[in-house]
Amino acid sequence: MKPRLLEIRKGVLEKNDLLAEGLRARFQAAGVFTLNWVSSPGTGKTALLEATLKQMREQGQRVAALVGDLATENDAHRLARSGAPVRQIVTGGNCHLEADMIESHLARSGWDLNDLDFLFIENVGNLVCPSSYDLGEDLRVVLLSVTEGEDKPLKYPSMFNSSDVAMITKIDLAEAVEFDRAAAYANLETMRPGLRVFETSAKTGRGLTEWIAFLAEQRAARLASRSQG
Amino acid sequence: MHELSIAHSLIETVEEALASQPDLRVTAVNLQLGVLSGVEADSLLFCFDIATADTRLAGAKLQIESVAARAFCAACGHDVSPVAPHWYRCPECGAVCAQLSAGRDLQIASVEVVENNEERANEAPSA
Repeated sequence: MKPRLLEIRKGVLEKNDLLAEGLRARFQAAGVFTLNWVSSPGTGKTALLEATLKQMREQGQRVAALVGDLATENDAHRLARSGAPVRQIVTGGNCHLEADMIESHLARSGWDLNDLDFLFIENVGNLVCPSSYDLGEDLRVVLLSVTEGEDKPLKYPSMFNSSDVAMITKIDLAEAVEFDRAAAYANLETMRPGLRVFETSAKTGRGLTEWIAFLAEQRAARLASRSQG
Repeated sequence: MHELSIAHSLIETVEEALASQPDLRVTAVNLQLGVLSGVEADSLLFCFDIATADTRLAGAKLQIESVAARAFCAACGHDVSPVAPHWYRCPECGAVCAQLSAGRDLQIASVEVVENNEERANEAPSA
């Protein structure tokens, strides 16, 4: 007996994408600007996020963070030092966050989205897998540290060309590791023409003011487009 | 390595699509996989065999069709296929293409199925 062909025409990640769209609608309705931070392990996501949260709180912004890791709650403890509400998502071996994890952790957090201006989601350190999963974010931010090698963008095309902003971290070490700035920028531009790039150091605070001002602008623009729509 | 998660999502999607037809067994899945999907075909094939065990997709073949990146170039007006690493650049005129219309695909096009009962009926005489 011959098998028969049944058309399906469904995205494998359709369920995730629908959940993400639902989250995006909720974030927009509540005026929460959401960022998904992705990078390889050790880029300095947590250090930069801690510094970002701290400074934004000092400016009166209402911020919160969800942080994903395979194991341990260490990062949540580090981020909590900023004073912001933080929740750890332990993925138990999963190498990326999915929209349903965001939804269930938000439900259990007790946070009222209407009380937040910004939600930061720190993804699991991994430059491959998180690229497939929409979390309902407004911006996907990919971090690249000066210690990693300027050709990272070329090696991980799916992640870099699906990101909206690139952040070069640990810029205070640039000279010591002979970071080739021109090559890094050229590679980022190849992967995503016109990609906005920031240079930051969580240690010295360099670039943070510009970065935080950019976030405020982005949120204001999003709110303006919401009230027009 | 998220191909095991992808394999589970794939099975779930097929199961849902066939929910109203419990007598069908899946013998093959035809998947369209974009070059920029971030999913590795070999890993997915490996995970698919493991993940489908004890489901009605057990033993099914995963047939992967690779989908090239596609973009419309507003500068030269052509539908083009950008290539690595210049995924956002028109290969014909060199202009920046703002959006890809294909290349991130991760879609189940179709499945090949047999009726469980028919199969048993067909096997019976030879046994």
